[in-house]
Amino acid sequence: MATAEIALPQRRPMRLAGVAEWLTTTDHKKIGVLYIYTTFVFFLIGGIFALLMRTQLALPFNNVLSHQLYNEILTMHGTTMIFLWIIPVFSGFGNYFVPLMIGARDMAFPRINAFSFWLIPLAGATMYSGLFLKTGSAACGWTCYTPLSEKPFAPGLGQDLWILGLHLLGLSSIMGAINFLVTIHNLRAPGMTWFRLPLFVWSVEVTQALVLLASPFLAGALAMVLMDRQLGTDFLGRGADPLLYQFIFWFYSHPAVYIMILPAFGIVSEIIPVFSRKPIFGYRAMAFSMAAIGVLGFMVFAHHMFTTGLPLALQEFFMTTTMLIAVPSGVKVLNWLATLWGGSIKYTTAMLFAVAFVLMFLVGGVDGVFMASLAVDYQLHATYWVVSHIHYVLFGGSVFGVFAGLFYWFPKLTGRYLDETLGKLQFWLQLVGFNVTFMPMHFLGLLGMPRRISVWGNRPDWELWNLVATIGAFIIATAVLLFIVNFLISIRGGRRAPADAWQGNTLEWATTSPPPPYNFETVPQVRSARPMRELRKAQV
Amino acid sequence: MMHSGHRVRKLGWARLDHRQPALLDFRGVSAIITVVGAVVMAATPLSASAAIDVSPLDCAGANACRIQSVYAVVFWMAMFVLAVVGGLLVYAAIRFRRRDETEPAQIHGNSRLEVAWTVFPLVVLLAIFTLTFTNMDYVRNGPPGPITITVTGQQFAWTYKYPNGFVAGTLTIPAGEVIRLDVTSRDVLHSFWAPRLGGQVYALPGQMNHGWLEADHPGTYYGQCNELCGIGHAEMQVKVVVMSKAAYDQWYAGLKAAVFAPAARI
Repeated sequence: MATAEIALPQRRPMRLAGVAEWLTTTDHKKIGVLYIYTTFVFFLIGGIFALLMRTQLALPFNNVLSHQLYNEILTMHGTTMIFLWIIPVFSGFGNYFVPLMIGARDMAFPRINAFSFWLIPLAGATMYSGLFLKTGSAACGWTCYTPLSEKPFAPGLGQDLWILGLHLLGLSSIMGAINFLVTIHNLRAPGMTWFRLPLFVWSVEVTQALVLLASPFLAGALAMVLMDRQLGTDFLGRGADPLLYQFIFWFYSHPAVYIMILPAFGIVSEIIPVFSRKPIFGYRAMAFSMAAIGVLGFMVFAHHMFTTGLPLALQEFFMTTTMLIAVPSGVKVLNWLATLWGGSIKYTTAMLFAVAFVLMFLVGGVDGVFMASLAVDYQLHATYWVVSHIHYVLFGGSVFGVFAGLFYWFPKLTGRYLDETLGKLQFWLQLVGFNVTFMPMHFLGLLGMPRRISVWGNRPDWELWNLVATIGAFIIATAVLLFIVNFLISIRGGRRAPADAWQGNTLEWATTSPPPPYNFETVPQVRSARPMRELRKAQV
Repeated sequence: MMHSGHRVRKLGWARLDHRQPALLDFRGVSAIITVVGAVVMAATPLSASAAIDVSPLDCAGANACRIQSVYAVVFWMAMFVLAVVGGLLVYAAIRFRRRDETEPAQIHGNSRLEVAWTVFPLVVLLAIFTLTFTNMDYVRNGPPGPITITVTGQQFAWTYKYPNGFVAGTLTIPAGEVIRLDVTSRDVLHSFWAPRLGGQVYALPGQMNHGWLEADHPGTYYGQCNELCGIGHAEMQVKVVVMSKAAYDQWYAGLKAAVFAPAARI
């Protein structure tokens, strides 16, 4: 304290040093925070795209966006939310908490970890730069089927930039996957056996195995499109089977759906036991069901192609596997229910989001079964029913899971709680806004509204629900704004959190909030699946 | 009705009467809510054009109605599952709120229960699977039909080629007949869809997909391309004009001259 006098003039260079430290860090926690902040910015950008689309679709014959711009924004919304938000935000949580939860000091490959992160903003910038071109960005939806994405139909550079962006993200994902898998397999604390692993770590294990096995297929498909476009090859062009791209694309992208939901399963499986004060019901079933989803996830991909004219027997095979994958998903929902049952539930904002997650995922699971039925899919495929389904799974599911995780782990990240009053207000707004937006999309699908249309009119049946959905979208936006306000207030002035902020079960609560760079003073010895509970009992 | 009853038997499809009202008719629901929300809707510039209904639930032909009948069963099973599981979830979430600081019983699992709720979804899904499976040959392959029309998608219009070589931008068909469709594309992927008459069929370049549709009554039915195909995708509309058999035969006979008129060919 005697040095305060000379400390003052040093403040400027100190700050720069702080920035430089964030730019060059290889600490898994700092990288985790970078992931979360960066991807949240992408979430906001993707949200603005969504609001633009909902504004365009609110009224019949609306003319807010041109056809071309709508298609570009549609593509960027999907790509942003999937590849720049949901997938990497879970990498952020994984980065921060996997080493802490397994009692490790860092990820296995810290420098690769930093590289994986820095590719993400670069990829985002690459993709978005297409929007500023005269010819526009990619405009073929996040699926970008050939031949629509081939040179004759998409001559602009934006398409190539989109592919390059995805290639960078694929590279980031694959390196991240190897890093996670090596970390989980090799750096567990003594006594941290496979069946004492927190379910969040299990979810990361399965997710990253899927990433490692599936991502190269997307990279391959995209590389072929890029070569067709730039080098004059004809892998997927005129001479190719028009469905070849879809087969490869969905071989990646269906597992990708589980890549996007499994970590949320993990987060919710951590939060529900803590705030119910009960162990997770059927721990092994929960772990095995995630593994089963991972394996079956590779065998359902052609259910995205039921209307493309595949042989009926092949369709029936994929209908069977698609229905089978509903079984482990159902087991998970019922095990969460059984965890709540007989518990002593404390409704923090994190818990509210976690319970709502289960309910919304249930809706998203049930409306998915409709499309597993081939006959019904012939009518509902690519309608707003699908839009509704995917958002119940990925917004009501994954994004609610992210917010549950943010409220649950914010005390660990910052040493302060997020404000609970604002949080609960945000939760209810978001829950209402979400359902007001996406429940009507089920109805729109049943009324025959195709997705991905830039304008509609002459359909009186669609008018009410489109308007309602748009109002809902702005309610969601208000809820997200509330979260930003809450964040800005709480990060400086929030209530201080102790090391064990919620009477947690897992090892991240054993160290200070925020944890020191080396995580733990001594490597903890693990004796059960709930080491922190054992520790509290021992202290009493 | 008599006409339709006769036709239904002719197709070997007496088991399901598609003339029942749709089980979940959202147009009814929206009508009620529209009245309630009149203030909101007053601000909405309603289109002056005639109401165009494209709901697959409001089926108007054998293919669409068979799908609708499968949908109806799946719908009620889904509602049952949603009501039971969702209901239990909400009940548990409210009932087991924290009242005091005593630790609840630490239950780690229950093998019997867990087996039970692995089997329960299996049974429900098996029912849906069986229902779908037994209907798929009909929905996908359909009964044989006398007329085959080639449907070609291109950015951003549909063309329909008749057996006599006539090509049109509107699909004209006779009521009560099974129409076989050969669907293809000239450029990118499209999806041919007239929801009230049948499920969608993808149009793929260089490949011929097969589908079918049937309309019970004369009238005009609409739909649109259901696979993003570029800038004009939203405007790639499908229009199906259904005539009585007699009127169609007369119309088709009158086309003979048009075959030789180059203007009618695309």
